[in-house]
Amino acid sequence: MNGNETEGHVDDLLAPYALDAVDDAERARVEDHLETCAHCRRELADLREAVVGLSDGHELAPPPGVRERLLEQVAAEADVVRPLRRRRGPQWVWGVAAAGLVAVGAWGVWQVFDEQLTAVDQVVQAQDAVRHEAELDGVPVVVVTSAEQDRAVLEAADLPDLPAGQVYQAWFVREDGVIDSAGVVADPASDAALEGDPEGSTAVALSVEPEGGSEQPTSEPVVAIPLEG
Amino acid sequence: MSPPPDLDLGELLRATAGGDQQAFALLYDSTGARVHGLVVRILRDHAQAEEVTQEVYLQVWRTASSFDPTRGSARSWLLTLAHRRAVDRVRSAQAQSDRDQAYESRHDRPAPDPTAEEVEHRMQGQAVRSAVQELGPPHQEALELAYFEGLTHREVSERLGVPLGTAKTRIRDGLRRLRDQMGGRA
Ligand SMILES: [Zn+2]
Repeated sequence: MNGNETEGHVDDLLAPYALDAVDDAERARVEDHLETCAHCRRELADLREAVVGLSDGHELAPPPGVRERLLEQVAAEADVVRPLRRRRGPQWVWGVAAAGLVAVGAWGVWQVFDEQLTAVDQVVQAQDAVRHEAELDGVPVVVVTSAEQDRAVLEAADLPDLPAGQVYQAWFVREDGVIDSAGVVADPASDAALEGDPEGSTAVALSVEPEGGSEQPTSEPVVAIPLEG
Repeated sequence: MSPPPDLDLGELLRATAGGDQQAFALLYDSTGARVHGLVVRILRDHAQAEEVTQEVYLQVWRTASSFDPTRGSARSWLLTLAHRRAVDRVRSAQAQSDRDQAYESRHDRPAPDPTAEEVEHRMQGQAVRSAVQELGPPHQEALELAYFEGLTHREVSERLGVPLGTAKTRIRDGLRRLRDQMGGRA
């Protein structure tokens, strides 16, 4: 098939690539090329079907515990994420959020006013204050809610820095799947009162949004804090 | 003629992408042995393989929407993901040194642990086995070193003591011949 070794194609690397038998530099080269070359994409799809045949006959049932743990974990994630997915469609993938931050767009900043600083104290010191916690890349992210105050506070957290023009925005994920903005987080390193009433929410989610925030999330959530109870 | 299995898997993946947990469970039930068998074959360690299989399906749950049917079948997407994950694990420094020691002791004959081997033998139909075996030793060996040992094509050439070009050719021609042989099979 030397006739196919057209300069610029990656024919000699496609088969090793289909087997993951390439180093990182080669993988990058192949993937760059695939972006623009339908011929090589077709060839790769073809080779990958052959690769499927390599593991024919090696079937081995996983230990039963795997299924149980998976379904549990998936159910836990779905409780938080399903409303987001339903709303945004399948392109709004939770997985990338779990893997870390994905930067998008360009953004602005919103001020923390004195009125909101006061609200922080009112919520955090409320008799019925409840702390809800999740993790983002090992960093705890805490939301405090108070039904009495009808407010929620996002506690100061060491969130990853965002590129200029991008900002964290908080969202109330309602039981019925509606997603309401809870405001742009001007400074994650300070406690911030969220806009709106947390009542009827299953979670507070954070996403990275463009300047000034968005009416609805335009990127994947980077973390969701379930509001249990 | 039964419906093409990949049609169903594609549907299950699509539903999974939409957050359908039942579809995800069905997907797991119909492909778990396939994925786990591959992962065990690569890692040769049941505890690690169990972890990786679980990671693979979590990744499936979270990234099912990135499956693009125009770029290949659902089965191929799934196995690609599983293989990549297992090979990443193998290539991590610790795993590699462990495996190198294991390799010294078993020479060039792949020896899965007894449990896996026993199950494999039980499940391997002659017909299934033959597609790869029919390629003949040089191609089969190159493909299996690359796919199951997690070696790069460069490492395959070193392991086999043949020039890089020869290793590449064996991998490429082996895969193409395998594809041609599989052409008539379900
Ligand atoms: Zn090309």
